[in-house]
Amino acid sequence: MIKKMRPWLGSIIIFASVLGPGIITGSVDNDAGGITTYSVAGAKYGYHLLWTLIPAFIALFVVQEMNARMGVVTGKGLADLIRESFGVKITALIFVALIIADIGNTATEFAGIAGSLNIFGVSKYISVPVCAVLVWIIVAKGNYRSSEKIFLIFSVFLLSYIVSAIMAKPDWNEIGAAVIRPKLHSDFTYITMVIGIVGTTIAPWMQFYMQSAVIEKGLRMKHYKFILIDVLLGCIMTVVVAFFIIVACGATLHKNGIQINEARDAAIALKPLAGEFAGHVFAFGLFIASIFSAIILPLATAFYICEAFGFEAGIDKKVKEAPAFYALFTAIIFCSVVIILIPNAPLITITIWTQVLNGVLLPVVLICMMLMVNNKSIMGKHVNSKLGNIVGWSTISVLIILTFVLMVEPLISKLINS
Amino acid sequence: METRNSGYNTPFFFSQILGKAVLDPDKTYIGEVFDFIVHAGTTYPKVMAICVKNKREERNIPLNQIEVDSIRSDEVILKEFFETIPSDNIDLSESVLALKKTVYDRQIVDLNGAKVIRVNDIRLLKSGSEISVTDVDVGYRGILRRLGVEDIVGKFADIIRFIAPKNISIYNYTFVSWEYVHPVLPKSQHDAIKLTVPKEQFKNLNPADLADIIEELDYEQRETLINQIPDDVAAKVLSETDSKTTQELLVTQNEERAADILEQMAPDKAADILGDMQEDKALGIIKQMEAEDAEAVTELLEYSDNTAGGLMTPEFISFNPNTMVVNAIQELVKAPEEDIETIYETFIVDNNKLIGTVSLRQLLVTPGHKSLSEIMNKKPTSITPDESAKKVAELFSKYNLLTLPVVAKETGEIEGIITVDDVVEYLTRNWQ
Repeated sequence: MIKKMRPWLGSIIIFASVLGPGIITGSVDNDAGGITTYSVAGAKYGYHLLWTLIPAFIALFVVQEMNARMGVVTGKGLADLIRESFGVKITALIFVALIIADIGNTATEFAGIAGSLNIFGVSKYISVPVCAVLVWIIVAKGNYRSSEKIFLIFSVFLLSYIVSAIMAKPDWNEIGAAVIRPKLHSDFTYITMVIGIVGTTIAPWMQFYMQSAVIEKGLRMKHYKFILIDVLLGCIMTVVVAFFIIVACGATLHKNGIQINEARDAAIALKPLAGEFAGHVFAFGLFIASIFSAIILPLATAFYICEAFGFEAGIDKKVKEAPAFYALFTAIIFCSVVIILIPNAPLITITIWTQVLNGVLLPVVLICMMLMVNNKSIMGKHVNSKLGNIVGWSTISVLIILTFVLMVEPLISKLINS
Repeated sequence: METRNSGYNTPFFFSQILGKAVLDPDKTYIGEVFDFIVHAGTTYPKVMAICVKNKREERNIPLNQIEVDSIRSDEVILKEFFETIPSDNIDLSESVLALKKTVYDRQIVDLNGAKVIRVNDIRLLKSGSEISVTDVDVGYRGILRRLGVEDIVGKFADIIRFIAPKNISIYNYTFVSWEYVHPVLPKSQHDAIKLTVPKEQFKNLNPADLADIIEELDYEQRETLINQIPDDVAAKVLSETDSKTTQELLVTQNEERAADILEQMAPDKAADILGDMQEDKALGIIKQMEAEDAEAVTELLEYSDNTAGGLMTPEFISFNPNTMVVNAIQELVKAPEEDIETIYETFIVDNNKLIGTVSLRQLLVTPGHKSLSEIMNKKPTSITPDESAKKVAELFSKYNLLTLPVVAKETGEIEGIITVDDVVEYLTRNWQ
């Protein structure tokens, strides 16, 4: 049947079918690691770090737009493109780092699951194995289309942080002032926090996820303006959630001088200050975010490695058909669960090292991306515009400088102290 | 292939030659090996030239200007001075292939395994003064070699084998012979070098497998592949690909080719595809179709997807009730395959009005002189075009049907038939 419909109705239908990759990627951004970083930042510096969300937003948008465009133009995943443009060695280097970083990242997600369910009185020795099995089953037996719908619903749940923040009764004038005229500090912890916030917002593996999600949906250049809106919404979602987490912690913990190390500390500390319900809502958000990312991370990582090296992959294949794929994601889940369940595991050290590895990996991936997105034989007429390149390269330069500072900072502070 | 003595043929890998220093006859450094240019027309393509790259340029050096024996040593030595070799000595308009640009690290179609695979390395064979491509390496071992750890892993594998004699799968070679390799070049390169002759093995691929392969390729490769296959194969393949891919690929074709492909499809399938298309595009394609096919498709387009009318095809065999069995069988034998969906059931019509059906089995077991009206099933199950597809499925299930005629409500005239494969497709589509 040839359909006739009003143009605006058509637009809405197209948009609804395009919607997803950007918003989901934006939500995965605020995983357990992200929530921890934002909570700690809010508790330590109140509203003083809110301004960092503006550059984080710009960088995130620029990077994800490039990913979406590359996927739409070529129909190739980022891993594919890197392999074809840079050969086996660089690809292997990136993916060895990626797999280690992602085991760390997944461990952080399970720590988030353990921490949040602990608030509701569940021991981590029960919550983590149960959730790990659950995650494995969803990954191995689920299918992408139905899981995408679940993921979109998950994304909405993340807005529960707005509830937590409002219940904390923040001083909006003070917040406005902090965003417009940020107070800059020069101590190392402050700089580390800035890097942490920007770094946790743009994690390397998400670039791979974004590009594949666009291809998986079969989106093409004709959908470009809707894709752009989707990416924009995703980025807004990321910073909005981050904003309210910082506000919630700034209005309560910072005002009362409470310092925290983990996101779950924030949920506990919120209880007496903003009421039991606010604490529970915070913990619930943490749980959703953690399990959401714990599903996507191992799956995505296994997928990209197989894609790059030409192993059979995909959850529609049997274990025998795609042994490398199943081995990879099972190993990632298993390793991260073991890390969490070791009594007195140095979780904070693991988190920091994971972030450092993410930080080293990010510029490598971004530089590869910039080179490819400017390559006419890959992108045809859709290479970056001049403005895109200026924003892209400056984003990368700033990220590299920040990462460099983050890595040498511990050394320098040691020198100063001695 | 020459085989004068057994040591004469030496296999080696592309990765071992790439990046090697290239020297002038007087041993001055002039650049490094950047690519191999091969003649793609043969089963095992011969290397025609080596592309040498230095800071200033990339230049193709014909193989006969190179000391071929030096290729397996540390440096590649030229027979004549680099500067004296003209840069445009290879006719690139012939079916030549640059290995690094188009095969190495790329995805290719394995015609034997009917799947898309990524090339980790390429195996070549030096025999006398000639070099030819024999296989592509698609296994773990190729990756180990590229990472420069093949030997180390090999030693470990030896030790493990010594302790516990078993197969070390990571160290096994996995080759696909070039005979079965079909490189799918991006469109731009494809147009430039005209590698248009699809291999013989291509024809043996099942269209459903080819559809899976197409879905796995990237956007440019899909286009190349669909341009390489004849209309009738394209029609079968595009009937199997998911609707998004089908739409995308048809849009990349000009209206004439799209029409040619759709003409080869069953009209109900073609109508489904056109129905999902934007109206102006669909009309443009229908205009290019032959009158008969265009009419059939347009009629079907009137019906919504999920009705009996949307499922039916107008291509079926009908007979006059007075036809003799022997004549009916002769007609069936002559019926062109692409125009008739099924021969298991024939439809008996009187002035286009459906009055009965005869199955193939009945035709075969009845003496030839009897007329069809004597043996036909006089109360055939039928349905009107506006009934729902769900109702259709229920009838198929209840009466164990293979076909179901669709008749007009008032006149009882037969409009088309629904075959069981259309019902299965409708059902699977609605599971997901």
